[in-house]
Amino acid sequence: MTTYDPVSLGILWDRLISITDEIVSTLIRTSFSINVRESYDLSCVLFDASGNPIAQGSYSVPSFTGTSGPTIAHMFKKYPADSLREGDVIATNDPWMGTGHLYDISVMRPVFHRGRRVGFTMSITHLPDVGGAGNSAGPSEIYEEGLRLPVCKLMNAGQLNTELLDIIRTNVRVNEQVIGDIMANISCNEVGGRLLSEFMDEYGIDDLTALSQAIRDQSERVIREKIAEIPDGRYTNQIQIEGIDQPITLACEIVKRGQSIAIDFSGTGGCVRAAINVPFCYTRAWAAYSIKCLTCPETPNNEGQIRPIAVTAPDDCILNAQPPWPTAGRHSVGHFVVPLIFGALAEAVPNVVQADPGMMNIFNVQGRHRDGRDIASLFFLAGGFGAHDGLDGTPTTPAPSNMGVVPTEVWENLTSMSVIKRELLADSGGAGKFRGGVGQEVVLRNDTGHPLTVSFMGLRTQFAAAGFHGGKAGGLRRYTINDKEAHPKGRYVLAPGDTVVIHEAGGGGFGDPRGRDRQALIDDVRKGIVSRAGAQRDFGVEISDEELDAR
Amino acid sequence: MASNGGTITPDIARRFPVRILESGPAAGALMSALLGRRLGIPNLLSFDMGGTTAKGCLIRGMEPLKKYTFEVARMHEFKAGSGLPVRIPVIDMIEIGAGGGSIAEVDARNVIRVGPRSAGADPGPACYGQGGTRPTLTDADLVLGYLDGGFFLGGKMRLDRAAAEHALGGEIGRVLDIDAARAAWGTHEIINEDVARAFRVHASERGFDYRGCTMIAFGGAGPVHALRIARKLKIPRVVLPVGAGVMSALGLLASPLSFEIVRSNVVLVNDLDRAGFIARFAPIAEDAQSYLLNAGVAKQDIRLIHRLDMRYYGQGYDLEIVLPEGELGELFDQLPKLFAQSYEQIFGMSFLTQALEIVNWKTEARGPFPKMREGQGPGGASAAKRSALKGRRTAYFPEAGGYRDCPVYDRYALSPDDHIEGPAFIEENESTCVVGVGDKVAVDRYFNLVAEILAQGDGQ
Repeated sequence: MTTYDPVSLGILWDRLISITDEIVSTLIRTSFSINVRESYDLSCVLFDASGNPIAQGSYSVPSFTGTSGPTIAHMFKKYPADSLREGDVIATNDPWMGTGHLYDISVMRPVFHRGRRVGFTMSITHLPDVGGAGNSAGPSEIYEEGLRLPVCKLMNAGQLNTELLDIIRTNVRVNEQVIGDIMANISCNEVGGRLLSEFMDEYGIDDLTALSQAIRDQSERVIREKIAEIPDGRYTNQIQIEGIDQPITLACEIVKRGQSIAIDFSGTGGCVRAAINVPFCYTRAWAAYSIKCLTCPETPNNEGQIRPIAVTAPDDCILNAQPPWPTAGRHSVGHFVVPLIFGALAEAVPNVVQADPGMMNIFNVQGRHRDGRDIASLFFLAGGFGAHDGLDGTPTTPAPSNMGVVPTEVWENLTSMSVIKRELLADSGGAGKFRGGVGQEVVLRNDTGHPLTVSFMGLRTQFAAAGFHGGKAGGLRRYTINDKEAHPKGRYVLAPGDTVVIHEAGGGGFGDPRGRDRQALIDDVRKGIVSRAGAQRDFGVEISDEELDAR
Repeated sequence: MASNGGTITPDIARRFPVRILESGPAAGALMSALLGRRLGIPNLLSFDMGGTTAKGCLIRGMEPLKKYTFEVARMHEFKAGSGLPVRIPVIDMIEIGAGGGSIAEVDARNVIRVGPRSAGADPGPACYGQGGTRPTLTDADLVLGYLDGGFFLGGKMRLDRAAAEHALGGEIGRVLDIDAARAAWGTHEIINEDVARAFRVHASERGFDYRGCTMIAFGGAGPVHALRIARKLKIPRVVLPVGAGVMSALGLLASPLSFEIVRSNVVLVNDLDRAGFIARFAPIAEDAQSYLLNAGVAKQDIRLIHRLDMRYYGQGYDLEIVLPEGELGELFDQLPKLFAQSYEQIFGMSFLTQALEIVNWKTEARGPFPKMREGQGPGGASAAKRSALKGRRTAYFPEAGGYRDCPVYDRYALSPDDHIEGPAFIEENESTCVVGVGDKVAVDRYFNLVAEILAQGDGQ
């Protein structure tokens, strides 16, 4: 088998990543929904001929890194790799085969080079709608959530499956956006195939197997060496997060031995009759991502990095939900896997863990635009980032996922709602030697002239982002409608003129607040991130007029 | 000089100082466009590489591509998104943090990474002997034999090859268990890949098919890398202009007075008719034109160029459509066809039934191109009588199996119709052209070097 020295390996590896970046770029340019083009709720992955992920676009949602391998394996169960022909395009949005909820469609295409199947490309995007109840925590069974596509062929040897597209078009809201996004997925994979084939021509490579092996082995070696640096031991953590009516317990036990890590979620509470249950594929992906962040955050993503990490969860706990539990808002529980694991390892690797983040906030809006067209879209907001040892948390930065927040101008155009205010919330970041990122006050008004349904899936409204190593917790998230408190996972119909006020949660601080650098705190007060009263209350520091004026 | 590559009067510059941001890098792009006009090549890649950054630009139909928003003051490793957005018309430059001073290191994956950190000019590369100890691209090019330690800047500065070998062999070679030459090759080739990738992504986002185009390369490190980058991009021909520094200044002088105005007005094409279409352009055109009239350009010499940013209704990214010359009303009827053609060229498919939306309306008023006389050779009349072959040195080419003996030519002694076959080097004071195995270089009547690139798979 061909071997690659570090010089060739580096060059070829970077080129494969560059190909996935071009797939992402094509996808974004041709998409019709803001989920893709503003929020980057997507991922593009390149696989070898056996279906091992070897490269991923630099702009990708972390959870999809870990799900794409199992997804393609599910696709092969129905359509074995050997049966696929040039021009075939396979897709599914099944939560248990894809990414944990119906909204993400995974679209895969085999790549042929000189008549031989040499690999696959896959793009995954969050569709603006899949019919059913619409994206909300409301449903109590998957059947209410919308259209579930088993593994199916979107294209057969170059022929579009128009019947399937018709079924989708008939079942969803904003169907021009949904179909437009599906077509964008098809076309970006076509571009990906062409680029991969050109790459193989250029370097005279007939078969990616050896290169794939080298990339994955190298990645595995790097992560194993870093895992070895974590002290051996058994680490546990248990946290409470908000459910619908009562809190949910998430628990983990991490056993680190030598160059391997095993993570088990025994002790975690059961599924609930609301769409916040998490299929295991999603749990596993976030668990692997947590370890990657703590060990080798800079290395590119591929299958090799997942190998040393074993993840298990008992059947039917909320982190291993089985059909027909509903899952649309699985992120509102699943995202907590990361702070759960960071918390468990906070003593073992204090210099790299992140204090709890304020996390992202996604809510769904359905109704009618002032100009009459349908609206069905997600609005992405973010709480403050958790602090690290040596690093303050940035304001309104999503974690652990990395979607972009929706710009005001884009949202107003898309929905005809007005964004009255977006203002950083003073004192919402957890105090600490390194301060948690602040949240934000966002005020929205229904100026569509029609009733508008909003479905919240809010987190951190009862359990704040905890600080680490003596740092304080961040501020809580809050929703009010016309000055009345609203349920963080409620579904409301806004009358024209109704106003929603959202307070985004702050991130947790790191280290004892009394240890904060005085000048840094003065800067915080000057910028309005910490108030003078807050400086005194949370940091125990009185700041004088002279200090504030001094430049 | 304005950032969009047009000339503006001092008065306009005082009123709109933002319009001269980034006008410096525009010079190289304009030189390439000028050269394109002179050589009759409409589509070009302009590539400039110096000590700290490499810059590229795409030229379509003899004009540099433009954009209408860019970032200044990037805070994080040149990364997009870490700077401040500025919304003015500018030449659409690719900027890559790669130059002679870029530092090579072993990254977290245990492979070589070059840049974005740079040793700059001080302390500079290890071979400068000014206290720099970390290996840089210039060190790699020296170890490979692509630069002559005794003829850097025309011999004004000596380079220390042993120091370069020591830096590469230590920091890279020892960690990866390879020799200094292989470490140097890796460093050199990674930069080539990075530049090629930047061009590829930039071009694909703009729907520019670079394969088959010509590249114009200049700057201190440009000619060292250009031919190999061209091969990666399947570009058959590279032109290395004579006296690139002077040519850039000429590029500035050769650009016409121009002023462009962009107005946002989002409207569905279906909601417009011919009259409405013409009416929306009229005030924009009048405004743009007024600046040139005030600057003393005669009305009959002003050309108006109309462009539209359009998209399918529902999309978030638009595509710029340059309206061909003609009556605006007739062009309005052709909009769906013009858009579909551009869209399909870039994304491989188009939707005929989807409604079209116009987002931005742009009009550029442009004066006449200044008349230029044709250039002379760089060395004067006596130069051609000297022997062009000035010596030989060994250099590393993977296709040749490692180091091999190569001829070195003096660019100032070359005359039109001279031919050189690679591997070889052509030296001038500011740079060295590295001619790879199988590449062929000819000198044209303007004394430009024109390289024909061997089309085949890369060696490892």
